[in-house]
Amino acid sequence: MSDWLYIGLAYGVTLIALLGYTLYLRACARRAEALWAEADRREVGR
Amino acid sequence: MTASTSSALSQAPTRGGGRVRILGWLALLAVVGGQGVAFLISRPDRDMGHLQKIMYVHVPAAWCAMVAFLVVFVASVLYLWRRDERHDLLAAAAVEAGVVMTGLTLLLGMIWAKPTWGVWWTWDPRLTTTAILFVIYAGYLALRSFTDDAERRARWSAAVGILGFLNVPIVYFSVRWWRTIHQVQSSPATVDPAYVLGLRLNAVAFLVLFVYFVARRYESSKLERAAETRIEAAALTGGIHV
Repeated sequence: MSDWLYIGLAYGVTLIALLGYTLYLRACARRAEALWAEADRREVGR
Repeated sequence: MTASTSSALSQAPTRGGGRVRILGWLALLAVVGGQGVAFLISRPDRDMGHLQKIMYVHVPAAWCAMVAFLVVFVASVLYLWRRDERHDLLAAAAVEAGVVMTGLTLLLGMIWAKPTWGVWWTWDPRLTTTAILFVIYAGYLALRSFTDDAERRARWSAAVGILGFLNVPIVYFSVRWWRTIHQVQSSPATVDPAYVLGLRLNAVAFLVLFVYFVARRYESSKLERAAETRIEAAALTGGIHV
């Protein structure tokens, strides 16, 4: 493989890792928001 | 959960979402800008040619991993000292980001190694100690799922966070202590002056990205724990409606 293919592979892996982790963080934030809303709902229902 | 811990997390956590979002955009700009500048100004290396450009992601990722595990060490010590769950949540957030950065460092090192050393992987001291570092902190994350007791989880995690850090200086100095095919630590003092600006820019960019990762994860963990505390309190006072 030429140098540029390895460079492309390196940047592709970096993009997937960083983007993937960012999406995971967004999912964690949404889950936390949903849990907070659930706590609100249960306190109102008390 | 201890009394001090539950009181710290039972109130509505401050939503730092706006600031964290700005930090995210700043990190994106810094990484794209840093890589762009490094690509434009760096000429091919005499020995490695254009492959040298992989250094602008591999080295900052490695530095960030070490910073991450230093944060974990400090937060773990603070947790054992003060028993404040926020320190545990900060340590866990830094471990996640550190594991991502260590995994990235290993993968990028392998991609660089194949065309330069002729192999994807070799049991070189630097590579082996870095792989051990990855396993230790991946184990830290696995350990957290072993128990639902927040206090016990935090105590176990703090122990691993402190003991695991012993491997960080071993990774850093492995290229000097043992005979290795990995070059010495890449830093402005050891790389060609032509590459210093690109390396510095990307080190700062990755650091901003790391801070964003940790801040975002910490905020959501804090909100999640506070919500769990409220739900537990509601259950104890008979407010459960299933």
